[in-house]
Amino acid sequence: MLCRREEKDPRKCLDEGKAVTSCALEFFRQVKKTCREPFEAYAHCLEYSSPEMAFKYCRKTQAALDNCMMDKMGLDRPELGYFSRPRVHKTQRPKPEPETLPKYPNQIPSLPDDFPREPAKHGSRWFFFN
Amino acid sequence: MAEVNYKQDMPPKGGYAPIVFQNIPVKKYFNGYTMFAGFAAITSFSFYMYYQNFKRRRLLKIERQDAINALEPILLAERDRSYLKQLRRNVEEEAELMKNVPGWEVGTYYGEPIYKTVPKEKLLDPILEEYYAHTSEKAYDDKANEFLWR
Repeated sequence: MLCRREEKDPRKCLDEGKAVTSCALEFFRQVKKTCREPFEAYAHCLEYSSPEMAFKYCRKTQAALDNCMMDKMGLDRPELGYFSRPRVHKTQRPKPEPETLPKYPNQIPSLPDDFPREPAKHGSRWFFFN
Repeated sequence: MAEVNYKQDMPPKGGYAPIVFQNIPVKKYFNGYTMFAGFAAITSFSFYMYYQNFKRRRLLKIERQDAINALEPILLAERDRSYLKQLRRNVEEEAELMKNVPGWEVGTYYGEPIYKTVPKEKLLDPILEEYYAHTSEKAYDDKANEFLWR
């Protein structure tokens, strides 16, 4: 996400994105192997309980999933607000240069009189008045 | 014409009851100080309950934002890849379509770029019609009319 936010260009962060996707897929494969039933029950509950998929209607299935994850995979649910805190990322990628504006002189010198004046390349934009 | 026995309508015996014209005050349950005290009590209790609910709602909101933050990288990574793939497909399609036109360069108008001062390697997001130009009409309609059913 740091790469994505800093570079503002999806082309430069494809490797990071692939790492993210492979990590997520690996996690979901493990979940499928170990805690498939509670996971699907929780997902079903989230999907069908409220249109905005609120968590507050699904505490029972959530507790079942949490217990399963703790027992089988040793993963605890992070405390509330864990993902909302600011986090410092360590990266080897050099910091991108901030975009610099070109500098213009205050007064643009006017064209000399003998400057070649050619007709507009793509015609006039007021062609329908002519 | 027969004689009609009229009967004069008279007041009841002893006369009518006296007309009540003096002000009868409403029975007072509270005096002013009690009402001020009641207002203060009810308002402070409501603020207390409001704050409790506010804290609960804030925690729910944080929980929801947690989930969104955790999911965002996964979804964005997939979306970026499919976006770039579609851009590549568009470029290839344009090259195939305009190969018989002499002087045509892909992404430019006969070699003239869209923006003069934007560097060439910068990724410019195309407009919706350009992005969906070589896809199915349904894909474009789904995206363009997304807000109508959401």
